[in-house]
Amino acid sequence: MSTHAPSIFESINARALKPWQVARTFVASHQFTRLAKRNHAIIIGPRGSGKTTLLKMLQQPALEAWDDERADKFRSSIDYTGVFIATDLSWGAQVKALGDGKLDQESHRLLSKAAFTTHVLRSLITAMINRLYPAPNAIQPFRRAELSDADEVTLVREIGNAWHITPTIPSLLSLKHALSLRLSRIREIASSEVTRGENGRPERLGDLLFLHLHFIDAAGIAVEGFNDLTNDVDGVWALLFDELELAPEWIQDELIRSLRSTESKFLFKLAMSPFSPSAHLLEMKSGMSPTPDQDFEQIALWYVEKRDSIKFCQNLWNSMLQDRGIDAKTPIEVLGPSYFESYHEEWSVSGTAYSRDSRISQRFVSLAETDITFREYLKRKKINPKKLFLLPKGVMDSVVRKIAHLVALREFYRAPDRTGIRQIQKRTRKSAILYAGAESLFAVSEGNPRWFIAIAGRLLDNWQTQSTKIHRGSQAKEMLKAAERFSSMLRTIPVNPSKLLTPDDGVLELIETIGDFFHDLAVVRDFTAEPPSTFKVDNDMDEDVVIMLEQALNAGAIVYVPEDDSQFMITSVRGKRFRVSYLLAPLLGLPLRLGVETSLFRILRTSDRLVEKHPVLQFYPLAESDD
Amino acid sequence: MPVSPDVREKYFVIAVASDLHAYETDPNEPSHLNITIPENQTHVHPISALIKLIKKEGEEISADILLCPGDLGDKAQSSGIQYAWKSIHKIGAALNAKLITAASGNHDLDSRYLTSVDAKGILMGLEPPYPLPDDAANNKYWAKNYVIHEGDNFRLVILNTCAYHGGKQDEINHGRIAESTLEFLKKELSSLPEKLVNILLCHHHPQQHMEIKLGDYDVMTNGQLLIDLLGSGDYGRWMIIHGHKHHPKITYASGVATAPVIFSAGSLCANLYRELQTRARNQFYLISLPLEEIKSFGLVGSIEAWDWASGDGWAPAAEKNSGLPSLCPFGVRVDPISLARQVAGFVSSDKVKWEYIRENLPEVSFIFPQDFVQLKKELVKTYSLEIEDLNGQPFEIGRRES
Repeated sequence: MSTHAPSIFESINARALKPWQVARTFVASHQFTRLAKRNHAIIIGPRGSGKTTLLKMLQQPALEAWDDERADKFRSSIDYTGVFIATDLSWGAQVKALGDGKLDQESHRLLSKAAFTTHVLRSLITAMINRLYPAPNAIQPFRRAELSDADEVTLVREIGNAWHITPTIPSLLSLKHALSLRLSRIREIASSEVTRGENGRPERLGDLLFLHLHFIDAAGIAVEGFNDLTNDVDGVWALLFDELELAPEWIQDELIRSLRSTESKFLFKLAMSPFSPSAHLLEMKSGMSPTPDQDFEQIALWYVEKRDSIKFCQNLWNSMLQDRGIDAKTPIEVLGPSYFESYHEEWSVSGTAYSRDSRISQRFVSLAETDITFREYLKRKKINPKKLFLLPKGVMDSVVRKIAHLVALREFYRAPDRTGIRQIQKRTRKSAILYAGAESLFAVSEGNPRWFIAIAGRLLDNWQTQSTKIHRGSQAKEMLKAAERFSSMLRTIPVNPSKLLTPDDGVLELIETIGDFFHDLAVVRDFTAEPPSTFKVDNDMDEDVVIMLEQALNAGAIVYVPEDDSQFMITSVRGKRFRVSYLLAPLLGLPLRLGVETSLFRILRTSDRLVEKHPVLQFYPLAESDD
Repeated sequence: MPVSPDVREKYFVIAVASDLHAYETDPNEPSHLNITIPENQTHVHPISALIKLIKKEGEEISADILLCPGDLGDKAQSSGIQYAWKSIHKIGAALNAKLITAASGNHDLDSRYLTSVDAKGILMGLEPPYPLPDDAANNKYWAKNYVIHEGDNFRLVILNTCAYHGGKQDEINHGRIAESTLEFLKKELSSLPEKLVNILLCHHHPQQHMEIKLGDYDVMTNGQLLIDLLGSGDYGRWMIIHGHKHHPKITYASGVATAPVIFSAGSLCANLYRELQTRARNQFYLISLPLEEIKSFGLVGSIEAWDWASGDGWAPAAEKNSGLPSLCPFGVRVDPISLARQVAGFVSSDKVKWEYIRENLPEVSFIFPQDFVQLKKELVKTYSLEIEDLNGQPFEIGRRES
């Protein structure tokens, strides 16, 4: 099954943008700083997390067009030439489809490798052309090179001999066009071989020398020639492979092994999804497999904790205001504070967010009045909700601050227990106003630039009276819309039905079941200070559910919570811990906090919807840590 | 486009925004410019989006003059006309244009007496004054149906081809330049010193424009006489800029080598007729006229075009099916066979940059895209020379490898 998951908000997908267009709106993150270093690297993130943008920004035309106060720093520190190699969906599919599935495995592999090599070499020549003939959008020159017409003719003829190719005229531009033609020629050969049959095929394919080039060897010849003629003998070239999860597995294997390369002319920077079957190569600690931090930098493009994405979102915000010609304003000035945070004014007046009249204090009082189990909890802890400000610091830190977020969520969604009798009721989830406000918007966007731009961009575009804040209702509407679009996309991911779910259930329904479970624990059930909000996939989980989760992970619907920072790519979701994406929080009524974990079996077996249809679920074991 | 000040001053740049068809209420939605759309919704407001593009590009998008070849409004809705006229001035201000003007379109005149018996009353009451900032000049426009504006190195004739709309019943179906107007114009031009750049701005097309079933009934009556007058060579070299058809197109007028260039500007934001939708887009233009080259080759230059996509904003025009491509040179009328021979004479090694050819043979930069295609074919066929493009522009030429 494909590990490719579609993405929402395709209209602003960086894949379709030219490097200088990417540079215009680019905001550097700390991940870019790490990626830009002179070493091998893997960037890992779900679809739409900005992998393509980061790789594209390492190209010469992007660095030349980047007009930002930090751009000069990067231009002076990057001392290699980026070669962007798009492994987009159509290309990946084309390689797989060579010969229409009717060629023998060996011939198919040979032709696939030749197509891959040609694709890489064409990208390399494009990078050379960019250095010689910069685009007109340049702000600052970066690693430009000079080559006389005569030297270019010499170089192209040398490369042509080595690559068994004759461009129409002896120029790099013509060579690039010839490589495009070669790609189409390879497809012709594949089709022709299907018709001609296996008889004599080894000889025919053996005679076509260009099918037998290896991409690194062939690229090395061109790079050496270029470096020598442009007086840059030690010049380094970074091969930037995008969306590697779409490439055939043997390409992924080959490139991951390249991370061990000590070939001084080349760096490898690979973009992949969190779940990849080839990640097993990274897990092997010996032999030919590379190891993180020794051979390559491993860079995750998601944020396990919401606070980690705040700075990046703020920078993105400033850039969006500037782009729209709006005077600089902080996100809080425009969006207001998050419902979950304390108001700055409350701090400045009383020096605490827990004074008698503060929002947090009022919420505690209100929930205690209407929620019997919360009232009992406070009584057990000897906390008077009306006098939070009198509590000793220890209790404040260990109890009140810890549960303030949960109290806000519970107070917002829960209907009052009537006449002193415990009622399990909740308000409708129609309103997502709970999630309005600057920090919540940052959290809901997951620090994913595409999601953030889609939500904040629409809010800013429709913001008519710039003297007032953007209405919380409008914010809620846009966040809900984004969540709904994301849900619709999840619904389209093709998967096999699981015996643990109902036959029509796919990725979306699985995530909804998990989300409903967490919402139920946080809002409806008896109050507990730490209801789980993350889940661990049991090792013996049903294979079809596992595949759904792999798809959900690569689409960004669930977020991997690694035990430590050494391994962000996984070959299996089994035994791993995840949380539901905050983008879905407004739809599912979830806390924007990382909570303790529970087992996925527990979630599935307590889902009313599932247990009704699959009574057998009740007999699945519970993880030891549960209950 | 020229950007640095020393390069910029070598060009005379004309911006063109035509056929806005702004409206307030109309269930048929004749234009993307509904005046009730808030201006800060730049993704759906073509004027705000254009101003945003101009400000973003800075010096790259600036113009000496901004011309509107008519149809500010739609079906003489005065609120739309007033809004569009103000919008045109906002665009002009963003472009740093020293002159902002328009010719009258059939939708700008209340020829069906919807609100008044004075068909041109709405236009005459516009603020800023219409079509020129000077009331005396405007009085002449309304009295003689044309007015001449003299700039430092250019002459602009604004012709009212709708002068008789609101009069004879079937006049509203077409444009006209009366014989008397032609005579007045001829006499006045004869009395004026020759200018390097001469522009005639009007709404209707002076020669037939019949393709894509666009009809042939509405052509300017006596248009050929106007072409003959301006194309005589006695009054300098001319470009006629018109609107009305919403079909972007550039041609040489019929006649001799000095016949005017005719530029049919596409509409800035009208909803396009169904026949046009796959062949044209809403476009905005900058015409760059290189003053030194014009002395050598006559009226040559290039037009840059941007396409509007509601929801996405303005972007450089697509190379096909937009009307005009993102860059369209014009002005040199020479058979590609002759030009190919001259180009081949400059290719003395295996390959040379196209820039080298342009420096030695500037004419190649000012032929129509269709002529360039023929030039390429001739170079391959007769001289085994191939041109390679970079970023959509010719970049180098070299001998074909055997």
